[in-house]
Amino acid sequence: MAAAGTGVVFNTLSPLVLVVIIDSVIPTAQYDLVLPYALVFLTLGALYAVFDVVGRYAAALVGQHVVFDLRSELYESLLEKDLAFYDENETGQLLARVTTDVTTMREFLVWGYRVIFIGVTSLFGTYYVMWLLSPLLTTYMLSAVPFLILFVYLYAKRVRPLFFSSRTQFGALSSVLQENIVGMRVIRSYASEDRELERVNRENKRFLDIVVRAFRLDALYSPLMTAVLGVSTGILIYAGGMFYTLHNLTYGEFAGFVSLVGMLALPARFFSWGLGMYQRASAAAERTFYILDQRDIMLEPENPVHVERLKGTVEFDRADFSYHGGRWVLRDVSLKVYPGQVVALLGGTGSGKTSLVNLIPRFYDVDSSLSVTYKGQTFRIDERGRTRIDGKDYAVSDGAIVVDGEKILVKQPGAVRIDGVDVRQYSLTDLRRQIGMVHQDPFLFSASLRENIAFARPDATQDEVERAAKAAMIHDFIVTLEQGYDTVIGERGVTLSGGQKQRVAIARAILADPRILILDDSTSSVDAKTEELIKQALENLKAGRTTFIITHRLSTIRNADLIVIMERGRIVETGTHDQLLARGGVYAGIHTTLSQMGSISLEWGEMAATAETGGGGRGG
Amino acid sequence: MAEAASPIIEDEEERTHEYTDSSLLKRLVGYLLAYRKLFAIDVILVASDIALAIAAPFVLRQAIDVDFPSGDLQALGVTSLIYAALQILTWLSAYGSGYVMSMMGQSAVYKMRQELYQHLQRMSQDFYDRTASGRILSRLTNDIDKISEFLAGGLVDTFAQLFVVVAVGIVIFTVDVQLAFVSLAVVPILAVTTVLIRIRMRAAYRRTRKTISSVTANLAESISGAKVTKSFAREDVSGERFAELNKADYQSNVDASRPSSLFFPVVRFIGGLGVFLIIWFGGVRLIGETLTIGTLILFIQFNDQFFRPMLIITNFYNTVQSAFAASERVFSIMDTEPTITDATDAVDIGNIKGHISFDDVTFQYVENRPVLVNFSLDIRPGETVAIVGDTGAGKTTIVNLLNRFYDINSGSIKIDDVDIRRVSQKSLHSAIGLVLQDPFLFQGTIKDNIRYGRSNATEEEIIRATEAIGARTVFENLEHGFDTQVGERGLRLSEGERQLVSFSRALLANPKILVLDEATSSIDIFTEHIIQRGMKALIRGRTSIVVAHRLSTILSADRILVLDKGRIVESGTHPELMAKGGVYYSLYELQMRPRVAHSPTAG
Repeated sequence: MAAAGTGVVFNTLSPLVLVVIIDSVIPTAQYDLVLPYALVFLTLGALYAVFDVVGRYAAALVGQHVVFDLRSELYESLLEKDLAFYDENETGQLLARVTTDVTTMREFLVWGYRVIFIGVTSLFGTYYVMWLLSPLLTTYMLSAVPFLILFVYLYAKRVRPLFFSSRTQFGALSSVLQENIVGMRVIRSYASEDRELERVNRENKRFLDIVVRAFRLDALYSPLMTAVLGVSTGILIYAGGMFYTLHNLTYGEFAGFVSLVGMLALPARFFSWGLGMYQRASAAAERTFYILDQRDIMLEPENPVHVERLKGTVEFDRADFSYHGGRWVLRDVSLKVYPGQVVALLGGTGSGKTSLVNLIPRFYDVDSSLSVTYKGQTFRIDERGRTRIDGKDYAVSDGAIVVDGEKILVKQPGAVRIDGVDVRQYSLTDLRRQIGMVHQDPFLFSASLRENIAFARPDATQDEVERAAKAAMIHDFIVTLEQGYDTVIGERGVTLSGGQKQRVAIARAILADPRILILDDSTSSVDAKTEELIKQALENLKAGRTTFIITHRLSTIRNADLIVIMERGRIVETGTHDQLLARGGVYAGIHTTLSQMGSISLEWGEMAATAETGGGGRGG
Repeated sequence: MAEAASPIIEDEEERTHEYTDSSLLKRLVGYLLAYRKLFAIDVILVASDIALAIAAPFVLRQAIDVDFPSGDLQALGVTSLIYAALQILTWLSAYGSGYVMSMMGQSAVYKMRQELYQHLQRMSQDFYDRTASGRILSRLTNDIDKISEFLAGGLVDTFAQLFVVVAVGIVIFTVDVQLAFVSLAVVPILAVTTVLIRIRMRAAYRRTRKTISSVTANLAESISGAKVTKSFAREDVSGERFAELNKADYQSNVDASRPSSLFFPVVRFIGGLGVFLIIWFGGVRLIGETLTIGTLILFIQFNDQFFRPMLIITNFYNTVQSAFAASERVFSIMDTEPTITDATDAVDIGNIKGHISFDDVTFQYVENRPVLVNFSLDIRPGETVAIVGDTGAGKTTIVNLLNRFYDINSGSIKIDDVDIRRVSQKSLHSAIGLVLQDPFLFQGTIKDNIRYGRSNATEEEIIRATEAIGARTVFENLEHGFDTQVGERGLRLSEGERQLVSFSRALLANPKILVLDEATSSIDIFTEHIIQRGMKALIRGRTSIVVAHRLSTILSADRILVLDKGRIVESGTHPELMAKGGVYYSLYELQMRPRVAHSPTAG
C-alpha cells in the first residue's frame, strides 16, 4: 500500500518537469538544461515503476494469502456442517462457492482494492498538483467531479445486483452440469440426451442473458468516466485559451494541465475497474460467507466431555426428530441398548430407522422443541410457549395446554445418551471416533486401498492394515491386484464391485476399532460367496461392540439380542425373535408374509439374503 | 487421497493433444466469427473509436498553435466544442462496441459450453470410469469461465489496439519524421522485454490452472464423502490434505504474480522512456524554433496513445494466457473422440421383438484380463433370464455390453438379428430399460423422475405405472405426495423409495428389453413385499435379463444361467439344475441350503 502510494506521488510530479522545461528552459534557450530536466522526468518514471512493482507483488501476496485462508476456512466449515446442510445445498452450488467465487474474490483482493486505492490517491494527487499550477483553472476542472461521483454511484447501484444474480445462475448451471456428469449412465440408458441437452441449454441460456445484461451496463458506465474527462479537456481548451489571453497563463502551465487531466483518466478507469471487480467480488463474497455463517448449526459443546473409551450403552430417551422443524421423522422413541448387544432394526421405507441411527454420531440432533399430541397429531410449541391447533392459539401453563376442556401435557424434548451422557455434551471428535458406520453403498475415496482402509488412522502400520483387511475378508483379493495395497481406486470406487467396496469399508471400520457399530443394510448387494465372506467379516467386526444393524436378512435378525420394529417414526415392537413370534404382532405377521412368498416357505427369507448374485461394478 | 503423495495431479488427458498458441487462437476466434454481423458492427465501431482517438490530439494542437496566439475566442470555442464532441462520440462507440463484444463473446462461450457438454454426452462409459467428475466439471465451469473472460472481455477491442498502435505509428510520421523516429526508438526494447516476461508468465499460469483443478477435484470428493469423513472423525486428515493442495495453489499463484507484477510497470516505464526522448529532442528543437509547442504536446499525447494500447494488451495478456491454458483443456476433451461411436450408416433399431444373441463374444476392460471369452447366449423374445454367479463372473459386463457402454473385442451382439454396432446408440438405449442397483434420480419431483423415461406421459399413466409397481401408496404417503422434491441425486428419499421411483420410471418407459442389475437388493423386506408384484408387472411381455435378484425371481425365470469366470457353466430352470447336481446345485446346497435347514418353521 505504502509502495503504491509513493509510486503515485512520483507519477503525479512528472508533468511539472514539462512545465519547467516549456516555461523556463525553452524561452531562455538553455540547451544544456534540456537533458538534465528530461532525465529528472525519466527518474520519476523509474521510481514510479519500482514502487509499482513492489506494490503489485505485495498486493498479490496479500490477496493470495487471504484466498488461501478463506478457502481453508470454508473447507473446515464445510466439514463441520451437519448432514442436513448437505441435503439442502447442492454439491454444484457448494463447489462453485468454494472455487469460482473464491477466485472472483481473489481477483478483487489482489487487484481490485489496490486499484481503487491508487485511483483515489492519484485523483487527489493530480488535483493537488493542478492546484499548484493554477488554482483558478483547477476550480473549473473540479466541475467534473460531481459527475464522476454520480456515475460511479449509478454504476454500483445498477450493475451490482446483476452480477449477483449472474453468479447465482452460474451456480444453478454448475449444478445441472454436475448432476448430468454424475448421472450420465442414467441419461444414456433412457436415451434422454436430447432432453438433458435442452435442460443444460436452458440454464446456459439464462446465464447468457443475465451476463450480457450485466456487461451491457458495464459497457455503458465504464467508458463514461473517460468521456467526462474528455469533455473536461474540451472545456480546458476553451478556458485555457481565455486564461492565456486574459490571465497570462503560460504554455508550460497549459501543457502541464493537459497532461494532468490526461492522467486523471487513469484513476477514473481504475476506479470503474475496481468497482466492477468489487461488484463481482461482493456478490461472490455474499455467497461464500453464506457457508461460513452457517457454521453454528451444530457446534462442539462449550465444555465438551472428553472420553477415551466408551462402554457402549446407548439410550434413546423419548427422542423426537424432524428435518429442520418439518414433518416428524421420529416421534417419542425410547430404547436402551447395553454394551455388546446386537440390535436389529426393521421397518419399511421411511419408517425412520436410518434417522434413528444417524442421531447416535450426531449426524443430526434430536428435535429440541416442546410439543403436544392432540388427537393423534403432534404440534410444536414455539419459544413463546404458544401453539396453534386447528387455527386456534393455545398457551402453555403449568406444563400443559387446555383444548376444549381437555388438559394435554406438554412433551419435553428427548435426548440420546451414551453411557448416561447426552451425546450433545461429548466432544464431537471423541464421540465419532468411537462410532463406526458401514453403509450399504460405501463411499470410498480416490486413493489407494491402503489409504482407504487406514482412513481413520493414517498412521496405522502395513501390518495393522493387512490384519484389518484379513478380518474383513478382502486381503486375499487385494494381494491379487498388481499393485496390491497401493492400487488406486477410482472416484466413487468404480473399479471395485459392490461387495469389494463393502469389505473395504468394513476393513476401514475394523481398523478404526469403534465401540459402537452401525451397519446400514450393509450386506445386501452381493453374491452368495461374497455374502458368506461379508458375514464372517461382520462377525469379526461385531465382536465386543454395541451394534445396530438395519437389515432385512432374517438370519441376522434372528440372531440379534434385540429386534426393534419401526413404523412411521415410532417403535412398535421390541424383543427377541422368540418373544416377538410368540407375541403374534407385527413381526410375526412379517414373518408369515415372507414365508408365504415364493414357492419354498421360509427359505425365501433366507434366499433374500443369500441368492443375490450381483457382481456389481466391473466385475473385477 | 492420492494427491497426498504428489500435490499436483498430472492429467493424462491433458497431454493427449498438443496445441500451438496460434491454433488455439484461431479456434477461439472461430467461435466469435460465427456471429459475423455482430463482428462486422464491432469492427466498424472499433474503427471509428480509433479514428476519434487519433483526431483528438490534432484538435488540441490546433488550439495551442493557432487559437491561443490569435486570441480568437470564438474560434477557440468551436475548437473546444469539437474536442468535447469527439469525446462523447468516443463514449458512444465504446459503449456500442462493449455491448456488441460482450453479446458476441458470451454467446460464443454459451455455444462452447453447450458443445462441450454435448460432446461429453457422446463420450463412452470408459471415459467416465477414467476421469474424476470433479475434473470434468472444472472444464465446464472454471475453464470455460476463463475463456469467457478472453472472448467476452474485449478480444476484438484489444486486438483493435494493435491497429491503434499501427495507425499512430503512421500518423506521427506525417507530422514530424525526426520526432517520429525518436519516439519509436523504444519499440525494440519493448519487444524484447515483452517476449522475455511472456515466457515466464505462460508457464506460471499453466501451473495455476492445474493447481486449481486439483483443489476443485478434492473439494468435489470431500463434499461427496463428507459423511464418511465425519463418521470416522477424520476431518483433520482430510483438512491437511486439502491444505496441501490449497497451499500448492497459493504458491503457484504467487509464482505467477511475480512476472505479472513486473510486466505492467516495466511496459509503462518504457513508455516513459519514450516521453523522455521526446522531451529531450523536442525541447532542443523548440529552442531552435524548428518545432511548435502544439506539436510537442501532440507527440506526448500520441506517445500516451501508443503505449496505452500496449498496457491494455499487456493487461489482457494474463487473461489470454489463462484462456489459452483453459482452452487447451477444453479442446482436448472436445478432440477426444468417444471410443464408441455410431456407425456412419447407423439406423434406428425401430420396433423390435426383443431377440438377443451374443455370438462368440470376447471382451476385456483391461489388456490381458479378459472378462468374457467366446461367450455365446441366445435369449428369445419375451423370455426371462436370470443370471447368477460369483462376483467377477461377468454378470454386469453382459449388461454393459448389451447396452454398448463398451465395445466388444471380437464376436457380435445382435438384437433381432441386427448387430448393435450397426444401430444408433440412442435407439438402442431406448429399446433397453436399465434398472441399476443404485438408482440415480435427478433434481425435481417424484413425478418428474418417473416421467423421465417418457416425457409426454400423462398424470394418469404415471399413477398407473406406480400402481402396477405397487408404489402408489408409498409415494402418496410422502409429505407432498408425487410432488415431493427428491433432492440432489434423490438423496432426500430413502434408498427403497428411490428404487421404487426407478422401477416406475422403467415401467413407464416401456422398453422391449428390460435389464435389472441387482435392482432389488437395496429394498427392505416391507418394500420388497410390495415390489415383488411390481417386478412381475415390469417383466411381463418383455425380454428380461435379471442380475442378482431374489430367489423368488430365480425360481420364476424361464431360464437360469450360472456364470463362472466369463463362461456359462450351466443353464436351465431351477428344478432342472437341481436335478443335474452341478454347480447350481452345489451353490444352492453350500450357500443356501444350510441356512434353510437352520430356519425355524414359519409361524
